[in-house]
Amino acid sequence: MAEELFSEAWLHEFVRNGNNGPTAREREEKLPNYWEAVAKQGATYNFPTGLILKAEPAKGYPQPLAALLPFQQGRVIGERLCSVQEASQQEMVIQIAPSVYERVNAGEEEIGEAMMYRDLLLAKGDVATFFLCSYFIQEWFGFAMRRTAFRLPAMQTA
Amino acid sequence: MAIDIEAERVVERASFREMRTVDVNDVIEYVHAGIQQWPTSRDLYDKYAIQRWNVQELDFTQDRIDWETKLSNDEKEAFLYVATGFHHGERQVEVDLWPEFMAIDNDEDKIFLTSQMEDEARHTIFFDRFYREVVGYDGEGIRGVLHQSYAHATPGLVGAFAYLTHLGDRIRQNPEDRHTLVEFIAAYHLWIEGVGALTVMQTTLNFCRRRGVLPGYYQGFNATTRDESRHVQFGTSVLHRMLHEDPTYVEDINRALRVNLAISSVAAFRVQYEPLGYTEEEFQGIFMNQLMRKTRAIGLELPQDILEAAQNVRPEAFGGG
Repeated sequence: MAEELFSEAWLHEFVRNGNNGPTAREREEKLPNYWEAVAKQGATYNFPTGLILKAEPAKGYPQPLAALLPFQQGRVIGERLCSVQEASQQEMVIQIAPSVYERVNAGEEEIGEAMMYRDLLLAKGDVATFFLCSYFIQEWFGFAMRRTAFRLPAMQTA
Repeated sequence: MAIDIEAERVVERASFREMRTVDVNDVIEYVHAGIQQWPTSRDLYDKYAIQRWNVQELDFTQDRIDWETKLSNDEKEAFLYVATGFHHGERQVEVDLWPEFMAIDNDEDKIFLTSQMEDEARHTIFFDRFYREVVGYDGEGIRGVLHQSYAHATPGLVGAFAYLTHLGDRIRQNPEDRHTLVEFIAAYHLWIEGVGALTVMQTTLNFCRRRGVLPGYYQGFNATTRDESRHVQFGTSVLHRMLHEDPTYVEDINRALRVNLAISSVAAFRVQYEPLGYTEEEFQGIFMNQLMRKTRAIGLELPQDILEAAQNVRPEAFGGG
């Protein structure tokens, strides 16, 4: 059963999917040099990254939620839920809205579109440093968001 | 190759209808001739007023016939990889140019940038019409068609435009930060427009000309290339001026080049450009030529690491703009 977005169980599954990298089929769809570049960029992206789920009352999230993703050598190790304040203090801070997660997960929006449209937004952090790793970011968050099923919280009715 | 005075005059004064027959190679040279004259932003605005065109005047009837009956599948595939870069790129810059407008502090520059925003809106509609009326895509609004053409977008395209749009975001947060403004102008006017876009314009428009296909696309995109001349001349002129005011801005320009070169040196897919009449080496040669001419014009001496990175650029990674 799918876990609620930004629950403890969802977060571990999300990280596991991001860390797993491409399947054999996904690997075949792109050139070997590209995957080498992804790995090389991942090795340099060693930043504690705050991931903030923006408030979206219509999706059942009246308040933002947050998680900490400590990236080391292309993998996240020791992820945990945290306060929005703590996430905001990290060197890199990425924001997404529940509806964006929903669209990317459903294949209605590609991760690349989400990045170009700032639906997946680098809210804090050095822009040049981040985009020197743009292939790694696209792939890691693409795997994590596409593969991790989720459910929205039950809506409170008045 | 330099443009002679008569050819320059033809490009400068051609009506929109005449852009159907103006040689794209002359339009590309017209961009560089203009840089050397350092036009003011007011000069460029005045040119805009004369050169602007109406996207509704384009007739894609013959293009549709050519697409369905004359172009091979290989040609269509290569063409779509290139055109998709522009399709997305034009939308991105139309939506994200205003932070530059907000941060730039010279009135004449702001006035010019209003004309560039209008150009980019027109180019966005041009591609929307081309994809709907010629390629046959359908979708709700601009985004719906963009989503369909995303199938031909590359991770390199995403990287370059997401980088630009996030720089714009930083300018919004701090319009007084001149270093980020310079990085934005270098990433946009110098790299995306001055190097990437002109390279791709030159190759695809020469393909249309040689093959005698897609006359509506040629007319509209050739006019787009002429519009690009004003944008590139504006950007190089502003960078030249700002470097003169503060030579430390060179690091911001170099940063923008390093990020974009890192993105452009890796291809995710192999795209066969031969159907468009170019080898990969020829493509890279045109790219290097575009880069060196712009950077020399603004008096920028590129450091060794950037020159080396520029040798590794993959055309697949940077189509469009």
